[in-house]
Amino acid sequence: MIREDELSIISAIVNIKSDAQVTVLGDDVNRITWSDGNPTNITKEQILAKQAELQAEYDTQQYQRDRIKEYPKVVDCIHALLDGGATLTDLQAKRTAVKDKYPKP
Amino acid sequence: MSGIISDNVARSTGLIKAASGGAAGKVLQCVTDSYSTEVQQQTTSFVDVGLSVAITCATTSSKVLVIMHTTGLQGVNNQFSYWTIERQVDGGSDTNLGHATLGLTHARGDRAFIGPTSMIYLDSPSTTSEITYFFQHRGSVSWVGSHYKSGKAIVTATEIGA
Repeated sequence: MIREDELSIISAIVNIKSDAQVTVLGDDVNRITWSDGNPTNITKEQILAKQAELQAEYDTQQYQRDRIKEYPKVVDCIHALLDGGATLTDLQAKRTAVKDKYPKP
Repeated sequence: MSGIISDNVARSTGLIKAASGGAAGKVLQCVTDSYSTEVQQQTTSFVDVGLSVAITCATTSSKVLVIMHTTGLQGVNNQFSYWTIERQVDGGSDTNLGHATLGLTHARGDRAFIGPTSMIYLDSPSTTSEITYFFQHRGSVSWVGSHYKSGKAIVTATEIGA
């Protein structure tokens, strides 16, 4: 799952070229210093396009972040698995309700 | 009783008593600066991350106490962050005041690790030319960040008579 910090300009650059040697000030595409001279001539447009791609992926994962907040706790799952019966049925119902509330796009 | 910190009664607030007969141990000047722009970089060698301070010592025997503080960010798992202080004299020669690769301090962290970083160094620059101390950072594997969320990073340089 993509983290918010991974939507940065440098993250986009590293996604384009994993071994890039680069410094970015203020997460600003206009304030990039290439220590390696940018040998593959990565452009601002390519960086912004990759960032938009990462943002889109991040957005499609929103349902996962929402579900995690509301799923039953792990300890409750363990108890339900050990107890079985109605406890497990109730827990499964709670999980299903969360999934229904935040459907996968 | 020479050379110790004592007898501070009736002295100006914050003044440290000098050793007998001179300016030894006396604070001669104190300068500070700050930087509030997040810097993210992926480099195999140390690079400046915006935070620096300049000071010109009164004598060649003075010492300079440098204190720096910021907040760092790890971009990926199982990575080391290395920080160091670089001394530049009169805009010319550069000296890494720490280990060539380890710097002055380092930390291991995983993706999303955010933590404070401080460095304290007592320098003996032996010059009356202008000295600039730069805060430098590098990661071991991938990208790292300094001054997280553009929080305020601070550097202070204090000249102490020797």
